[in-house]
Amino acid sequence: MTVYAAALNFRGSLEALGDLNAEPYKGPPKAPVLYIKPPNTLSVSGAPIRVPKGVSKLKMGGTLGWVVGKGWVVANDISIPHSSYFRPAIKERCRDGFLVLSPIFFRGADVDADIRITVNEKTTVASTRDLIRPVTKLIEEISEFLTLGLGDILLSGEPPNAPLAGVGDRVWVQIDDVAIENVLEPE
Amino acid sequence: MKRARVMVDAVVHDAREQDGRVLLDDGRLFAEEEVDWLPPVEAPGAIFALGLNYAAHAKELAFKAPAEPLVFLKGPASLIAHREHTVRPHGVQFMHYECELAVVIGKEARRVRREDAMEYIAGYTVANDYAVRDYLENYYRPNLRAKSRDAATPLGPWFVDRDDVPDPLNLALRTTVNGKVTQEGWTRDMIFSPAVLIEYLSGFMTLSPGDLILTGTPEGLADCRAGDVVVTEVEGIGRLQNTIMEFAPPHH
Repeated sequence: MTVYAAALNFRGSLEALGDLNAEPYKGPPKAPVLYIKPPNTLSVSGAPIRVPKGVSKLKMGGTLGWVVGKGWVVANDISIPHSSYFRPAIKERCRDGFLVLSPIFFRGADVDADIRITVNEKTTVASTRDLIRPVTKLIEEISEFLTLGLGDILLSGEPPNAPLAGVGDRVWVQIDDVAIENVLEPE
Repeated sequence: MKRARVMVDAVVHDAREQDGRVLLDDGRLFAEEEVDWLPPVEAPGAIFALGLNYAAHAKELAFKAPAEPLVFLKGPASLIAHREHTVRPHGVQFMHYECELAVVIGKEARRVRREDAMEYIAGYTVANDYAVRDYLENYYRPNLRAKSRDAATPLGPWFVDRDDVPDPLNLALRTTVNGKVTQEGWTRDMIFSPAVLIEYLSGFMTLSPGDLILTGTPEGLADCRAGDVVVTEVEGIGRLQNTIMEFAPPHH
């Protein structure tokens, strides 16, 4: 099972990078910008999210994931905030436990989803209607060069307003009536 | 010992090398072209690969050598075995091989120091880390569309135990295309050695048995065309053969 994720896939994400025609990007992306969350990142609701030493805040990348041939998952795709998308963000995205996944649930592929990300009392809401490439479009473009196998997961992208959280904070990500909940603890 | 996974009459066998031939676990002996090879590492976990890890190659690509390892990840769907085919997408201008020493992790590694790192290596194999440069963009570069394509990472043929490779930093790498040598280098010219890479990666994440680290390629890249037979070889580890194919464009 491999987890693939789309970056910069929400309206507003690219604008936040600044002038895309300048160095280092030299133009807006043509194909979906993708990354892999390796097996060590997999975690579940209830497990602590470990904040690395020397890092004050982590980004809570709530997102909707598609499990090939099976259904959908709520995901918290955690990362150390980084402003450059030039090099793969392995150190920022691939830490142990940096991908919390819900159990698989069912929903219509064409139904927009509200993604509710709550840190303590404060809730941020994003909608999959603001995805630049909806999941079906991502599948079409990715599967042109990469076979998504049964059980592989495709994360549709974190919203640009994904909130930050630090040690002691409690975070929920909810889509439909499915939620994951984790507390941030020091490494 | 050199070990492999091969298929004979649709049955998967563990095998080992004997006098250049393939000895199955049931005692039968075959020539290498008589069996169907599988990647020597079954169901790998994370597949790490290195960009710009040989000084001369970094120069060839007009980059200065990185201060920190340039690591990217590949999906397991990109792995294929010895003597299989890799597709060159129709209409691209530049697709090249990359001959690499591949390190197979043998036990869970977390915050390992470089002086202890060799203990975490199970062994080695050979990788050909193809890239389609037309698809390289400047977002999370090198990106998946250029690097993690189906069947774009031949691996094998043999898995060689760590202790059978006393000096992994003194191995010759060589690529031939249709029998002509196009790439030559030495693992001693790596910028970040396997031990340093294990220290680096395990410093912020846990490595697990079966994880792969493709350690980068030296200079000498060349475009590969349909029909080309590409052999990437690492001294003492193996000689990995692959053939390029191309599909005709679909009719619309």
